[in-house]
Amino acid sequence: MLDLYAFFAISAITVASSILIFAAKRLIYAVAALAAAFLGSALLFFLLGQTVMALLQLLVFVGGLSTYLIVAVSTEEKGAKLIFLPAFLAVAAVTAAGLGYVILGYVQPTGANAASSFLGSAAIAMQGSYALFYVMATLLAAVSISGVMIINKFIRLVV
Amino acid sequence: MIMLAYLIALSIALFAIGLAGIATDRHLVVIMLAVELIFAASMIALVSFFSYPGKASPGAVLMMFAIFTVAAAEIITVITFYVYMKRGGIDFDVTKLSKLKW
Repeated sequence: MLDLYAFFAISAITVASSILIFAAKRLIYAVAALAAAFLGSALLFFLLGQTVMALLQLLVFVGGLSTYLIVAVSTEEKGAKLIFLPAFLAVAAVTAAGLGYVILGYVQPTGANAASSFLGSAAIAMQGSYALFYVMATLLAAVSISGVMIINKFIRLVV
Repeated sequence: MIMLAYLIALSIALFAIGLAGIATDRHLVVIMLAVELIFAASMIALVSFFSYPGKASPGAVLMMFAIFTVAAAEIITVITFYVYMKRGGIDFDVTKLSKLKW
């Protein structure tokens, strides 16, 4: 049942982000919405048990290519003011709290049902060999995107 | 286990949103972002089928990585278009783009 709730929550975020791509007034918001949609699909892969695909999606699309897009758009937009930094930090804090909840072992899967539930499989994956990669991918994505935004907010990049 | 119909419905919804974006938006970069969204929708459909026993085909993994590669290459193309068109002062409105060379 928890899987279903998680699926509907992730789907809602993904669909809302994909609509926001076209509803955004500025290009950088559209790119950030696309990154959120990629993140939603990565979470969905994780929910389906395809941990390697989720990791690839997180590393390549969310952490890598979305950051490139944000860098390109933010450096070329003249006089851009990234006013959604607090919102971004809030999202990063929620993500970190969710990962911490799983990593720190508050979820204790037991029995055969553990692998079939979302949080149970997450906890199993985190305890396995992928744990370090997940943490690295999340940290890389958070640090790179927030770093770009902070740099662009305080220092005007000249390309 | 989530029903396959839900996953396919999500994939269809994302595909429809992306297609509507391509059809209605005139900004070149936003259109390419819509193409990325369609790639993501197709990835979700492929991974959904692959995750269900009895529905996976041997070529699914190859197809997933092919979509991955094409989508990644397309993002690089978006960045290149954006930077060079911005520097060249070229309008991003696709209805005004009629020349292949300037």
